[in-house]
Amino acid sequence: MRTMGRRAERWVRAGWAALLATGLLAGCTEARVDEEQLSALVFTPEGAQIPAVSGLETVRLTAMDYSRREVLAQAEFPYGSGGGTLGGVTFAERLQLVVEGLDALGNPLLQGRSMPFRYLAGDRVDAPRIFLSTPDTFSEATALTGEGDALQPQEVRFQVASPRAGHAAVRLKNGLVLVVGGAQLTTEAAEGLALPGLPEGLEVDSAEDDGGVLDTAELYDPATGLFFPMPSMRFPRAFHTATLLDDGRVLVAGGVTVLDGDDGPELATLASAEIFDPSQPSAPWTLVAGSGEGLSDGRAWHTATLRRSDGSVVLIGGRQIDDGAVEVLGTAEIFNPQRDRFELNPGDEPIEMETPRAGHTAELVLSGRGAGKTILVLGGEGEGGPLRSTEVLTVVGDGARSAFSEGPAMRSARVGHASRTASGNGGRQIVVVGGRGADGALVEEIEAVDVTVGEFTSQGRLSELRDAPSLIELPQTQDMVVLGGLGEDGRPVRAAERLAFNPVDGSYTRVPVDGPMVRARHLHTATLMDNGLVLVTGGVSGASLTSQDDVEFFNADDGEPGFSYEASGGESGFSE
Amino acid sequence: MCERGAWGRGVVGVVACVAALVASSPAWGQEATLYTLPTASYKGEVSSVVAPKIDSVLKERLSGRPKLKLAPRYGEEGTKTGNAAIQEAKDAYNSGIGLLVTEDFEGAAKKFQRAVQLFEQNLAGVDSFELLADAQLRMGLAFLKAGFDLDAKTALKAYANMVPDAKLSREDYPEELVEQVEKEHRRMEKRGPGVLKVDSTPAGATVELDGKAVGVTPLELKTAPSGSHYLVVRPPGGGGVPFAQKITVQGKGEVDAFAANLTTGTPQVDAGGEEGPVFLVEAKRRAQAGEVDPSMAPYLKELAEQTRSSAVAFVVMRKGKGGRFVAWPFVYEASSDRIALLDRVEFDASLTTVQVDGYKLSEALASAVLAFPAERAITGNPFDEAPAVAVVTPPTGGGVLTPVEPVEPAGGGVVTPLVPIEPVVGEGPPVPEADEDKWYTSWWMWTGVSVLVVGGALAGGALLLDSEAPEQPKGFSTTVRW
Repeated sequence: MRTMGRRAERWVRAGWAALLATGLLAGCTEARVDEEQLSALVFTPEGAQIPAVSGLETVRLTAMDYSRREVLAQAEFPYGSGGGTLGGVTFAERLQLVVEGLDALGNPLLQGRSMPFRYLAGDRVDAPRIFLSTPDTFSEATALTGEGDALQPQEVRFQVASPRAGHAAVRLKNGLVLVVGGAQLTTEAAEGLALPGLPEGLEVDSAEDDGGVLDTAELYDPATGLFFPMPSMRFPRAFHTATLLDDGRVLVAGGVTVLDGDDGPELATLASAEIFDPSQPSAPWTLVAGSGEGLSDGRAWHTATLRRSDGSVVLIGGRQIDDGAVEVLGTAEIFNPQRDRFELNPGDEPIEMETPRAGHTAELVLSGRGAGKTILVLGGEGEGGPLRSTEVLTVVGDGARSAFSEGPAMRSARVGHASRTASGNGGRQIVVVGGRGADGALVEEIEAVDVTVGEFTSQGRLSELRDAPSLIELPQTQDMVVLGGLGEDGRPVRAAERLAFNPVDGSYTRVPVDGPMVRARHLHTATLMDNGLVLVTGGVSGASLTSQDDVEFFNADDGEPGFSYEASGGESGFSE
Repeated sequence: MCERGAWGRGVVGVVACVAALVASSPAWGQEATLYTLPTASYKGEVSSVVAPKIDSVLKERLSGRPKLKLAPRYGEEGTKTGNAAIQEAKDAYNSGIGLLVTEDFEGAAKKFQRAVQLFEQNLAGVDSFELLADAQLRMGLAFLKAGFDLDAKTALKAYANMVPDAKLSREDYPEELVEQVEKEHRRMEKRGPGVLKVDSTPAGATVELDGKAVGVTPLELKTAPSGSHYLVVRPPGGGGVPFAQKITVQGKGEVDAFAANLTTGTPQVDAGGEEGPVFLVEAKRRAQAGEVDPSMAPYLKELAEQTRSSAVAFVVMRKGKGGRFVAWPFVYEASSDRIALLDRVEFDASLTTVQVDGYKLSEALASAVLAFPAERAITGNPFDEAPAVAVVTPPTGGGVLTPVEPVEPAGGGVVTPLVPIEPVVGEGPPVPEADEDKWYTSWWMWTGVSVLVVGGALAGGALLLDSEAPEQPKGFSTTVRW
């Protein structure tokens, strides 16, 4: 029998040691991994810190998985500690940091959320910026600019510095907000052009650049809080529509513009549409269907509704202005995103409405057999004044044709109202607020229709009557917020109100919003962003109803971090 | 028996390498992005057919390699190159002129519109902004003649903004057109100039407004004419990726500020061949000239950054003995900013085994990308000096290749012929004494050890995988100060 030499023995021992070391290395590597660090910046209009609000005792930091609405980590720190570190936050594709300043009872006195951001192992992430404000109040739009110790809040206005009213704003898929077009309106115009459907005396000031109608576009980035100028549209437009397409592009259609007529400036409606592609933000806008006549009719004050079943956009009704004559339109046309052009029914057959209307609203039905493809058109101004009637656009036959039929009548005739399909109650309910009635007076009643029943019911009354308000739904509480618009005295309204959703019976209860708007606004835009703030832009304000270039935030106070109602019965084929 | 023992040690060496790769590669389980330069012919030594052939095999092999993603080469992205688009724009412009003459105004308008669109999409490559302005003017004319007044107005406004001092003759152009341009000029005058502020990272970039150089960053131009213009900011030094955008100057003394980040922009797709960004052209030139030393790293670094690659690989082909070709593979690792020369691989004269040899070459490159061999990092130009690294490439098993003395080739320079020679014993790791009777010199013992080590490596690998990429933390902590 052979014996093992000493050198050989050392080799074998070394081999086993290497094996053991490999195993130990594998088992122990995890223990020496350090957590990555991320700083977040908080600010208010007063400064880059949390102000000493009376009663503020603790600061709660929460990290959420934004997609799942799930709290990943949460901790509270004494306000006096001057800072805190929230550890153990797992990486996620869409994270959101929430900072709340709480009183002794745990009520939030200040609250703010970051924009959702991606943070996976090894990613380099910029410090999220979190704007803090009192829940349920409005505040001046503010951004945090500078670096290091020189960080300071800065008031935010439109970058292009042109006041806008009758413009459009649309939230893009990446969370940014595109603001486009609009008009310089005032009751004190040097060279005024009266627009149909507006309060008497409110005119476009055609002495301004481009005849007082804007072709400019700008992008608001909630992560930095700043506007960035974008390429201008091919044509100046106001009272147009801007619709986010399924592929992330934005379709802007129709609108009113000012032309150089033989006898000076004159109004005309545009029969063109153009597309902005956020994936190529410096690329020029693309005209739909060639050289400028993409629509069959020039139209403004129409509606544009994305039909989720096929991704098409349906333009309905509106007004046409041609050689000074105003006509209310009774037709619809459909943008086909596969062909990037507008179409009528097969054989170029017009899609005729039951009743011509402008200043109406249109809502996509989200429940029942027509979910995602049926559109309910509500009220508006017909040839005889405000309408009570509604009509329904359905897809018929093999899906290639669209046809209108009569819908259930509303409780009140309305024009200039706001409506929204509520996501609560399984998407069955469409809520209608505001507007002017048959006698020209403002409508007080809030009404709603359950599309599976087809009957409008009263949901109480607004405390501040208003024409053309904004109506925003909050995704978690499913409350609705009514803001802005023109009041009974002919002045824009400052107060906002909330319709609190009751998930038990699907009803709404009106409650006041804690703080009024910074500025009373009419013909403004309001867009809910992923950081929980509503971006309210431009509009007319003041005694002279002049277009504004400023912006404000509404802290929508959409429940505590992680809060959400369960779907409350019914069926809904789609979700926001 | 001596040979058998050496073979055993070879196996152990290979297995140990595998084990080391499994245990130590920081890129394990992750995908690396590799940019490959075209395979170069050292000073034109090899025929123009050889390098592309080897390059093609190499790319094919590397593109199928797991955990490795090949970054597209400049000019290979399937899109129209910048220069081609500008040429198409010029063609469209010329067609428009022709259609104007034949009074097909609508057709002409569409051609001019296409030209303007292509110019606008490739602003950084526009070599004549006068042509772009003229295309706007003629588009306005064509639309006017075709009856599209609004389109005409938009085009003429753009022209008037671009050429604020244009004086159009009423004899040459319709009254309506001239009036429209003059009206826009009056508007611009009424608005007054605006302030254009342009910053860039890095500073010192050249700022061009409508094709005219107006200064360098940081720039505050207080007399920017109002209206829409084309802004191009070119990185200092002539290379890099320019910032280009259609902008609107408000006028009325208002400030319009733009910040151009010239370090993280998406690279513009450029034509192949000798065209392309400076760093690419220089990297290719150096590979072909055999000027491969650490001073090449800055170009490769820029190339890696612009293509978002973690490594750049390139192969320099040289002539070998007997008509054969020798591939010198190099890998540049962006994180360490170093270039390594890998084991050279020989190709036969007629390239009949190009697939096999190409596979070996691709494997060597891929392995080096995933685990950078720091010990092989070059400190000088390996083409100028005797190779410091042993050439070890077992072709199909059996035998070891080691370098022999360099010989001076006819064409100059130094080459290292690769021929199988008798293995040299007595270097490297401890070698047991040659003793046929001792058990540890027997083949079965080394096979057993190999099995143990492979088993250990596999077990270690499995444990590593099971621990869910333990090199990376699972989460983070966030700090807020108030």
